[in-house]
Amino acid sequence: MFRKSPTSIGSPVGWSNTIFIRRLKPSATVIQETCLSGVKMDAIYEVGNLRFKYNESWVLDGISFRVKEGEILGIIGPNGSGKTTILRILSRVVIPQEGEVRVRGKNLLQLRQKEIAQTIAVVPQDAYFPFPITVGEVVLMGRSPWLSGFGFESEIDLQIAFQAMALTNTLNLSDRLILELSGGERQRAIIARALTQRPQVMLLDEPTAYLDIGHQIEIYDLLKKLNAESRLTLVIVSHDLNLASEYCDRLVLLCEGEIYKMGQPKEVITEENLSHVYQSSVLVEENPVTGAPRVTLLSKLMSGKYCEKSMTVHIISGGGSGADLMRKLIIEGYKVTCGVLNIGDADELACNSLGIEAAKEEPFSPISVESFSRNKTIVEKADIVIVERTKFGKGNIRNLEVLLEFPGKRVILLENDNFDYSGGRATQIYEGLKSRGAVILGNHSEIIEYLEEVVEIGRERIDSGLYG
Amino acid sequence: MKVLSLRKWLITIILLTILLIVTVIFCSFQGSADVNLGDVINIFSNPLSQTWWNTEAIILLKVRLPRILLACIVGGALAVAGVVLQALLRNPLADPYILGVSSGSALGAITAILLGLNISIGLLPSIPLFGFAGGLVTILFVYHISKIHQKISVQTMLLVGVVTGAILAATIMFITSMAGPDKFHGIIFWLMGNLGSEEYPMLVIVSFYVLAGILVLLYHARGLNLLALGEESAAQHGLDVERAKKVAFIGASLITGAAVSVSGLIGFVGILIPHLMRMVIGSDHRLLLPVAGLSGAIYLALADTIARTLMAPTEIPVGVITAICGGPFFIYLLKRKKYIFI
Repeated sequence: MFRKSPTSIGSPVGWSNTIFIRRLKPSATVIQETCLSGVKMDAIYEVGNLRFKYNESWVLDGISFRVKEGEILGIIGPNGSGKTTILRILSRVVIPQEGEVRVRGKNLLQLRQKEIAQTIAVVPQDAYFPFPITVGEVVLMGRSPWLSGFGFESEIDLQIAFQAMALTNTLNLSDRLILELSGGERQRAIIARALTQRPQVMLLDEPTAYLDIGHQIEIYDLLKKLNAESRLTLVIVSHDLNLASEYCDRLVLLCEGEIYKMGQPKEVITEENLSHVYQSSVLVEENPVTGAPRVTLLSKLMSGKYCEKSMTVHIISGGGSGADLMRKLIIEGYKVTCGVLNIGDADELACNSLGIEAAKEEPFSPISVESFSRNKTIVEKADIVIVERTKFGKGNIRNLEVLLEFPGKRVILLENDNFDYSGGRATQIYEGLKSRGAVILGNHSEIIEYLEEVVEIGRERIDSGLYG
Repeated sequence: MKVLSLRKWLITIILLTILLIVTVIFCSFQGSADVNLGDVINIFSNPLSQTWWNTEAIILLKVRLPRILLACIVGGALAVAGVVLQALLRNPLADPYILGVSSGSALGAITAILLGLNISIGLLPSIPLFGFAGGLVTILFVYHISKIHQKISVQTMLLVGVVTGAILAATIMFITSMAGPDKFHGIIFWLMGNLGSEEYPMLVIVSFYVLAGILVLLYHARGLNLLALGEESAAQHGLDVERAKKVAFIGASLITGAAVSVSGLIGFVGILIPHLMRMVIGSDHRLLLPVAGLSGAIYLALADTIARTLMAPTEIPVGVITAICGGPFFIYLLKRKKYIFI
C-alpha cells in the first residue's frame, strides 16, 4: 500500500510542521495530537459487518473493510450498489441497522457530532447554495466544527482557511460568489472547505461527476497531492473506473450491497470482475504510461453481432491504418483477420482489443519467413482481402506478396497514393492485382456496401442450389 | 478576503441602532397634530405630574410613541423570522407567513372580534391573546405533523405549513363572509394590519418576548449558516441539525405569532428586508440576523408614519405602504446588483 518513507513525516509540507500551530486554541493542540498519532501505522476506519436498509431491502448486506492511514481508497460499483450509502454511514448521516464503524478505534456512534466533523470531512457530489455566498465564506465554514456558539473566526482559523485555499489554488477566488464559479473552481473551493476542517480523513462522493476531463484530472491531481504531501487519507466514491484505477491505492468493488472484490486496482479492475458486476463487456488493458489497468467499454451492438455473417475478411494494413475498418467490419458482423503486424503497432493493439486473429512479427522487424507463412494460412481462409491505405516498404512488402500466392482470391484495393517505398515492387503488385480484376474503392462505406452485395449474391447462390 | 470580524459586526450594529433611534425620534414629530422639539423639552423638563395631561404630552407619549415602538418590534420580528425561515427551508421565497402561523394567529384574533370579547386578562386585551393562542396551536400542529421518526422533514414542514395556512385562510374567509356588517369592518381592518391599537402593557410584553426570541435565534446564527447548506452538509460540519431546526422553527414561529397577534397581517416586510439585506451585507446570518431585525424595525416605523400622515386624518393600511414603497426599490436593486438564485 501507499506509504511515504519515514523521513517524509517530518517534512515541511505535512500538517505537522505548519507555522500556524500554536498552543493558543484547542483546535491547534488537537491538530498536533493528530499528527503525533499519525506516525503510528493505523487504520482510520474499521468497518465490520455493516448492514443497512432504507426501507425493506438491504442496501448494504454484510460489508467489512478497513481504511488504512494515508491511503486513497476507491469505492466503485454500479448504480444502486450502495457506494454513496457507505459514505453516508462513514460520516454518520445515516446509522446502519447492524454492524459497527470504528474511527481510530472509537465507535462512531459514541462520538459527538463535532468530534466527527473534526475528524472526517465530506466533499459532496454537488454542493447547493440557496443564497449568494462568497468563496471565502464557504471555505471558512470548514472551521465550524472547531468553533462554538456565536463564535467569530480567530486569526488561526483564518490562517488555516488561507492555507487550504492556497493548496487548492482558490485564493484569488475568495471574494467571488460561489455560484459564479465554473464547476472545477467550485469543486476546488469545496475541497478547500473540507481541508479547512483539518480532517484526518476526507470522504468524497464522485468529486468529478460534473466536470470535463481537464478538470477531472485537475481535481484528482490535487487529491493525490494532498494525500502525498499531507498524508491525508481519502475515501473516494467514483463512477469513473479509469480515474479510480489510476489514482487509488486500493479499490472496493461493490455489487448489490456486497463487496465483490477488494484489493489493488490490478486485482480489482479485471475483465472478469467488471463484466460480472456491470453486466457489460469491457476490455481491460494496461495503461502504457502508468501501468494501471485501463478500461474500455465495448458496445453491446458489437459483441451481439460478432461473427454473425459467415464471411471472413482479411485486412492488409499497418501503423493504425486498419483499426477503423476492423472495428466497422466487426460491427457489421464479418469475421476479420489481419497480418502481418508488428507487435506494438497500433493496428496490432486494435486486433488485441477486438479479438482479431492476426499473424504477428517482432517489433520493428521486417516480416520473417515464419510469419509470412503463418500469414499465408490466414489469408488462405479469407473469402476476401482488403488492402488498406498504408505504405509499403522493404519491411512489409511481403504482406502484398502473399496475394501472389492466391491468384483467385477476391481483392479490394482502397485508392492509395504515394504508397510505394519498396522501389517499384508494390506498384507492380498493385497493377498486377488490378489487371486480374481487383475492385478499387474510395472509402469504407463503399467497402461495406460492396461486401453486402457479395454476401447477398452468396446467399442467392446457396438458395438456388449453385453451392452444394 | 472579506471576513466578518467582531469589530465589523459591532460597528454595523451600533450604526444601525443609532439610525433606528434617529428614526424613532423623527417619526415622533410627524403627524397631524403639531408637536415640536420645544414641547418635548417642555414635557421632560417639568415634573411629570404637572405635564402629564398636557395635550402634546398625551399625543407624543400615549399615542405616537407606543405606535412607533410597536412598529419597530413588529418590523424587527417579521424581518428576523423571514431570514430564519428562508435559511431553514432553504428557500428564497419563504416569508414569516409561509408556515401558516400567521393564519392561525389571525383566526384566533378574528374569533375574539367575532365573539365580541372585550374582557381583559390582567392588563392585556383579549384580541392579541387569542391571536397568540391561535398561532401557538398552529405551530404545534405543523411541528408534530412534520415529525417523521423523531426528525423534522423540512420539505414536509413546508407543505404542511402551506396547506394548514390555506385551510385556516379559507376558514377566515368563511367567518368574514358570515359576520354581520359591524363585525365585518373590524375583521377586515384587523387583517390588513394595524399598529395603532396597542397600549404600553401589551407593548412591553411583546417587546420582551420578541427580543428574547431574536436573541435565542441570534445565538444559533452560525447554525443557520450551516443549515442553508443542507442538512447533510450541516451535520458533516458538526451541527446538531435536529436541535438547530427545532430552535429555528419554533423561534421564528413564536416571534411571528407574537407580531401578528398585535398587528395583524402586515405583508412584505418579512420577505423584502431579508433579501435587501442579503444583497447589501451578504448571507452570513451572524450579521444578517441583527441587521435585518434593525432594518425591519426602521422600515416598518417609517412605513407606518407614512401610512398615518400621508392622507391624514385618513389612515392608509400600512401593508399597502410596505409593498408599494418597498417593491419597486427591491426590483431596482435586483436589476442593478448581482444577486443570483439557483
